[in-house]
Amino acid sequence: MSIAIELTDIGVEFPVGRDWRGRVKSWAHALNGVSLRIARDRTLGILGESGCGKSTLAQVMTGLLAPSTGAIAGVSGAERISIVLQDPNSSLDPRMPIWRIVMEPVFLKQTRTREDLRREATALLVKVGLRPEHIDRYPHEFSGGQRQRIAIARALSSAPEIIILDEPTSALDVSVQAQILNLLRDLQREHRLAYVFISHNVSVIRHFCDEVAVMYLGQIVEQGPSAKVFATPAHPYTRLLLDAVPKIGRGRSTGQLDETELPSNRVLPAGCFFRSRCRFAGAGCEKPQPLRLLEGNHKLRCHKDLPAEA
Amino acid sequence: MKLQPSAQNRPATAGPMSTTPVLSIRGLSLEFPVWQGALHALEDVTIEINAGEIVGIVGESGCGKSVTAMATMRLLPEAAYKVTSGALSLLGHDMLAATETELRHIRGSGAAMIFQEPLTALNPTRRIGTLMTEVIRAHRKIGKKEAQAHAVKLLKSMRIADAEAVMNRYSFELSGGMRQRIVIALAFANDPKIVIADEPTTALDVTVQRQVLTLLQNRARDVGAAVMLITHDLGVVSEYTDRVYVMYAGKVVETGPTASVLTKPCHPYTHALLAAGPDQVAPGEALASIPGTLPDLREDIPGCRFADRCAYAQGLCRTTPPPMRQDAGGQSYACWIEEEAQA
Repeated sequence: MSIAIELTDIGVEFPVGRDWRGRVKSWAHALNGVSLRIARDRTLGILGESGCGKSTLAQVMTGLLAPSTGAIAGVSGAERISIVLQDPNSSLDPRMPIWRIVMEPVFLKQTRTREDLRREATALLVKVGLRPEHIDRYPHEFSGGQRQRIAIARALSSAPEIIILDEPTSALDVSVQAQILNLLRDLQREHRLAYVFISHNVSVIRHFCDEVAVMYLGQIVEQGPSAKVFATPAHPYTRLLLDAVPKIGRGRSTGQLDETELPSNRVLPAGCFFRSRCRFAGAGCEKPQPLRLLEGNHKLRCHKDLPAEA
Repeated sequence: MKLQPSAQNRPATAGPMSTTPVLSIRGLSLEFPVWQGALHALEDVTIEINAGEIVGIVGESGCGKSVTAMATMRLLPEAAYKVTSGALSLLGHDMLAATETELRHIRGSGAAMIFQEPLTALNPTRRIGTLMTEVIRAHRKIGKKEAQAHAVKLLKSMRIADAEAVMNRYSFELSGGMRQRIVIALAFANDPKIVIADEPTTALDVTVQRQVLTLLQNRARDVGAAVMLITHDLGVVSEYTDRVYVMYAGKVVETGPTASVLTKPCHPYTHALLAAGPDQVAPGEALASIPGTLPDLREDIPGCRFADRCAYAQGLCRTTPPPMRQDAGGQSYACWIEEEAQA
């Protein structure tokens, strides 16, 4: 298994407000010691709710943001890493014909003739399921699903090793989402791509990813093979998240309420970050929690062994 | 005494007392005139909601679910649409003929609306307390102090712990979940008989979504209000609604008790929508997407609107629109194909 990119202990802090002398008043701790390895041909899912740092992680991997601490090894920079963003309405330039949009990453780096670029754009668009006659149209002439296909064609144009998919289907309807996920899987097989699939959607991650990392407040709290993590979730937060997803066939809601407030990332909690919301919190949780290894490459940031779920 | 929510004198659930529906839409067809023609947004839509019921309207973008909600409250821009046939009665008022004064009376007191994006639904230049007392006093003749006390009570009913402090905040200072809880508190400010919630949790995280929907459900049950819950998420429909209407391209294609529609769907579209979910196949296998795209609603579609994407479509499907058929369990669907033939 060849490693495409490796992140070691990445931390990112953003300054929040400055006083009259220009000194930083406080810091927002977006990422707190994230280590990840991404292999070719594989899909790593990053699962978490808003504010957990998953988009900051995408920016660090693409080189758009320099980490405050930690190191990145392997491919880096925009040439070998592409990104597909959430909202295809705002990520495609409305004033460019789509062949220009698709070839922009190449156009910026290489000197190629216009004919050559158009020919390659046609090939890429056909590959993602659009028709050759579409290449001179503009983004507004396409539906949401088709626009996401254009964004995928653009990500492919620089022949990357890694594609970061930042919520690629959350703006789409389920029937279109299914089309896009099927397309992404076919492209992965054909090009031996490594995917980093960022999403808050548990069922999409479960379906699409080989491995999953669950993030909470800028930390990975649980990580492992997708089948294992979803079958036997070990961290209380993972369990809370999986339980919160509305499911068909579970029956009517009982009306019971859970605590949901996310702690602030300005002042990090002492000890386990999840302690204030955890229903299993007790002795030992006041200490910072390291990521410990369970069997089967399953990692967990919790010192307790929770009882198996009923 | 006016301030007491009238939970005591209303049935907590839809009982035999609630025979007259709070909302009745009968055969409503609505179009938006566009250049050289019209966009047929709703076609022969019939929806009925009884007192105390939570009813889901589910469908993908462009199916007409939001237009239905907006038409119910007469919130569509008056010059931009035309009702070609049908009737719409909300709490016994003919909404299509109501005057502006009547509408002002109905909206915000008998019927309330919750929108998708709470940040745009709340005025950012006013404190939460000011916003809330304004809404309360628009429909009741009470003093400021009384209205404030009522607002605090409403916030507390939404499990907002430091309600007094929140009254002095602005909407942008609060989290998304908190904002949506305030919007719901506002919707229930004047004891509505029906609350229309248009994708109330689409912008929220799943844990917050669960909390907001549970609060909405509990509150509606406490005061005996009906809820029209518009969503694209079948999981939400399953856990939070009693009955459901499935819409496709401006038509209701299937309706019935939620549990039976989701476990034994009769219409091929409902079937396909359920099958497209990522949890319906083993991880790694191809998903069952629905081929094709939504039909162009500007065109006249002679037969079934789903025919072009339907795996079972026959000759009749492309020429004549299918009527609603009802089965024994109270489930109805608009399809020519017999249920058995689809399995």
